[in-house]
Amino acid sequence: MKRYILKRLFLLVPTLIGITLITYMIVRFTPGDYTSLRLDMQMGLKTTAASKEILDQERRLYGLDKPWYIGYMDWLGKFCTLDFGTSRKDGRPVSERIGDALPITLALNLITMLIVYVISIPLGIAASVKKDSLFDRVSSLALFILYSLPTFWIALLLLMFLSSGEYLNLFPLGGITSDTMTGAGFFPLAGDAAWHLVLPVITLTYGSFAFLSRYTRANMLEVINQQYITTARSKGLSEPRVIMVHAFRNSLIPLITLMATLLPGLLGGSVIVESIFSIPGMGMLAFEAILARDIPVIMAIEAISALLTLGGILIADLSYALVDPRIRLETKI
Amino acid sequence: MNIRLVSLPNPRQKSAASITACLILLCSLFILNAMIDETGLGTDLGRRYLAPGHGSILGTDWLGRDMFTRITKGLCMSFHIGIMSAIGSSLIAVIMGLAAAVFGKKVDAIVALLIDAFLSVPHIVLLILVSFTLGGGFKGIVIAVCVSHWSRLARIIRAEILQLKGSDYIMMSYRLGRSRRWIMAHHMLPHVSSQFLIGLILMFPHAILHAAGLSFLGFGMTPDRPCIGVLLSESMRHISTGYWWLALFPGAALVALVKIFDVIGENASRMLNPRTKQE
Repeated sequence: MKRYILKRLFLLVPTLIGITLITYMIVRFTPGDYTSLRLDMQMGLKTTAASKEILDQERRLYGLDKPWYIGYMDWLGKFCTLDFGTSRKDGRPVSERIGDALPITLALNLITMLIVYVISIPLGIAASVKKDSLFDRVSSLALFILYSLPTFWIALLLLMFLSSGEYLNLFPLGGITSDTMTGAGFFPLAGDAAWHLVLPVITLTYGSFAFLSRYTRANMLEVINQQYITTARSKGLSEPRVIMVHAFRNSLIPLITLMATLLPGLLGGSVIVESIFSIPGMGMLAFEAILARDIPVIMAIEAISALLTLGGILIADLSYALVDPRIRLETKI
Repeated sequence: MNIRLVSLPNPRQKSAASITACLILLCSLFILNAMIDETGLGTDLGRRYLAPGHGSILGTDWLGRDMFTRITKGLCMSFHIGIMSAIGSSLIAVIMGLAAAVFGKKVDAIVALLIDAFLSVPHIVLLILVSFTLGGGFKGIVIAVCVSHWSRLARIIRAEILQLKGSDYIMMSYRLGRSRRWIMAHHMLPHVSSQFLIGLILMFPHAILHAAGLSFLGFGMTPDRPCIGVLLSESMRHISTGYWWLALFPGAALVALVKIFDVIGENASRMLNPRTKQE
C-alpha cells in the first residue's frame, strides 16, 4: 500500500509539469501582455519612444523579456518553494488572493455536493427498488431534462424571474453579502449569506442529480441481484433492512469514490456561475486573471486545480481499497 | 386471443426511426435558415422590444432585430461550431490513441501523460485561455474546443487499442509478418471506427454548449453575428427590464439542438455497439 501511494505520488510530478508547461506557453503566446495592456489603458499612447521605454522597463521587471522556457523554469522553481509570486493587478501576493477566494468557492461547492448527495441518493434507491415503475420513469425523465439545461441559461432565467424585481423580488442579484449588513451579528450575517447563496447553489446542483441518482440506481440494481440479498430475504429480514443494510452499504463503494472525482469538477464549473452571480471565488479570480493576462494568478490557479484533480483521482483509487477489502492496489498498476 | 397483426418494431428499427426523426428536424432547421432572409438582422429602431406575437413571432430586441431570425441563424452557427470542433477533437483523439498503440512504449508514455494532463485541468478554464489567446471568433472557439475535449475520447480509444494489441488475431498477424502500419490500417482502425463515430456524435452537445458558454462569457463569437451565446449574454444586460423573451427562447432553442444530438448519439451507439447491436 505504501509503495503504491509513493509510486502514484511520484507519477503526479510529470503530469503536473506537463499541464503547467502547456498553460505557461499558452499564456505567454497570448498577444498583448499585461504591461502593454495597462500602459494602453493608462496613457492612451502606443508606439511613442517614451512609452516603449517604460514598456521595456516593466517587462524586465516581470521577466517578460526572457524567453518562455526560462520564464517557466523561474516559475517552476518558485512554485516548488510554494512561492506563487505577486499578482500584477494589485501587487498582492497570489497566495493571499487565492486565500481570499478559495474559502468562498469551497463553501459553495461543499453545500452543493451535500445537497446533491442528500437528494439524489434516496431518489436513486427509490428508483431501483421500484424499477420500471411510474416513479422510476418520471423521475429519470425529469432529472434528464434538468441535466440537459445549460447552467448559464438557467442562471439567467432564475435571476430574471426571481430577483430582478420585474416579476418577483425574492433573492439578491449577486454577491455573497449585502452592503447594509456590515456590523450585524453572526446569525443575521449567516442568514444574509445563505440568502445570497440560494440561486447559485440551485444553479450548481440541478444538473448533477441525474448522474448521481442514475449511478446509485445502477449500483443498487447490480447488488440487489446478488445471492446474498436473496439469502438475506430468505432469512426473513424485513425489506427495509435488506435494502438499507445489505444492499445499500455495498452499493456505496462507487459513490464514495465518485465524491473524490466530483470536487475538482465542481471547482472548474464554477467559473460561469461565479461570474454570473458575481461571487468573488476561484472561478471569478480565474476569469479576471485571464482577462487581465495576470500570469502568476493564472498559473497558480491552473496548478492548484490540476493538483486537486489529480489528488482527487488518487484519493478515489485509495478509498476503493479502503472500503472494499477485495481490491488489492499492488496488482492494479 | 392475442394475435398481433402488425409486428412491433424491434429496438433497432426504433433507433433508426428516432435517428431519422432527428435528422429531419435538423434538415428543417437548415431549410428554415435558407428561407429566412437577412432583413430580420437589420436594426429597426421603430420596432424595439416588441413582445412575441405582436408583429413578430418571437419578439424583437433592443435594436429592433427580429429574434426569430437571430435564433435561427444562431442555431446554424452553433451547429457549424459543433461539427467543426467535434470532428477536430475526435480526429486528435484517434491520432493520439493510434500513435500510443503503434509507435511503441515511449510514445505511449507521452500520450498517456498528455491525456492525464488535459483531463486534469477544468475544461472551461482551458477553453477560455485558448480562445482568448487566439482572439476569439469562430476559429478561436473551434480550436479551443478541439484542444480541451480530445482527451476523454483518446483515453477510450487508447484503452481499446491496448486491449486489442494482446488479442490473438493481432498477434497472429504479427507472426505472419505484417508490418505495424498494415495492422493498424487493416485491423485496428476498423475496430475503433465505431467508437470514433459515437465519440464524434456525443462530442457535439458538449462542443455546442461549451461554445455557447464561451460566447456568453465574452470570449467567443463577436456580437456582430448572431450566435446563441451572444444572444444570451446580451439578454443578461436586460435582466431587470422584463423582456423575458430575449432570454427564454435562445436558451430553449439551444437545449433543443443539444437534445437532438443526444438522441442521435444514444441511438447510434445502441446500433453500433456490438453488445446491444443484436437486440
